Amino acid sequence: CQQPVPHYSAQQWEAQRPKVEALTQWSLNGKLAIVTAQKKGSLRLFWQQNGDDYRLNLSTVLGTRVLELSRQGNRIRLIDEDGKEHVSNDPALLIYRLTGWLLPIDELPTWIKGLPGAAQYGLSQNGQLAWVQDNQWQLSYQEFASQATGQGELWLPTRLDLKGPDSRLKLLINQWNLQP
Amino acid sequence: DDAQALKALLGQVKQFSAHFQQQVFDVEGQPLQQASGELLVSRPDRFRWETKSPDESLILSDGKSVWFYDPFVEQVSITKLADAVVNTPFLLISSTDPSLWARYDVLKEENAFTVTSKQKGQRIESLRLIFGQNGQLSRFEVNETQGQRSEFELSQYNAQPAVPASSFRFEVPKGVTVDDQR
Repeated sequence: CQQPVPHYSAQQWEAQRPKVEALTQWSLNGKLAIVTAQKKGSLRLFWQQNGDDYRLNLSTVLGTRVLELSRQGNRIRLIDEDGKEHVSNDPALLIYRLTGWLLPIDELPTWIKGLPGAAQYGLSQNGQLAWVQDNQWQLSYQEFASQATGQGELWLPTRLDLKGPDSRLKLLINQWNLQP
Repeated sequence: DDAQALKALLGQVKQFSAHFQQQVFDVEGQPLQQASGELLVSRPDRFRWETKSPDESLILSDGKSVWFYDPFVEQVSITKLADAVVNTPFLLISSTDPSLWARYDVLKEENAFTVTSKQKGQRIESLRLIFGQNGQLSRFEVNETQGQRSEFELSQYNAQPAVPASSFRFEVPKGVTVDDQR
């Protein structure tokens, strides 16, 4: 299992960055909390990424499906709580319209791996990615853990807070699966 | 009939505790989630479903209300027992209320019972309860209308569990939001 070690050296984060960028096939199990002024709650998250295609499943603790968002090529599909299918080319807008949740869908596949993508970022004194910020979202990386991969060890985030325009998200990653 | 047989089996034991291993599968049968924890049931209508791994949550019925504590967002949501039954099959396992049972059809196949809601359009289509040779509940499955399935494998079944008075009471920790939906 994962051993969350508090810090690791700066060179490691920079050194492993190409390997993390090359990681385009992965899945994770965890929990997503969504906190808005009116409501807060959390759901179990299963996320599978394959290049630009992805599948995001949100379920209750009982295992009932709340939402499933998937992308194959440029076809983006959302299945809502009643099993109704919605198709769009703007996933973030689709989710917002259906659930009221603001989720940075396009950037998350990069941010969740601990990469800033096009956003500004900063490292902590021990060289670990500490924060990422664009014009809408402010992320703070709480915890990383070492994951074993075919080419040695990779440090990936396991706890992440995202502050958005009108909501706060908390991501807890219980398991990274790097050889799906 | 099959419903009587199931209620008789469930009624054999006034209280039981067990460790559970939960597996959630998607429509195509691919595993999505895994969890494990402890279950304590005290008939009628009281149960404690505590998920411990990979993260914590607690669903507890005190016989009148169901308390759903989610430490990840520091909130406890409370619903009336009757309202909760739609999404908490544990209530069926712990309930002796004939009017509740009247809302479900029961089909027996050897030691497995399929409990289906008579009302259509429910979130949960059916609940399957599987008993061991010794008449003890060994497994149950929650089958969702949309096709996801959640299987609970029970182990360390104990028909004389220690049941401290506080087992079915929820003390709201400091700083936890109370979302009372009753």
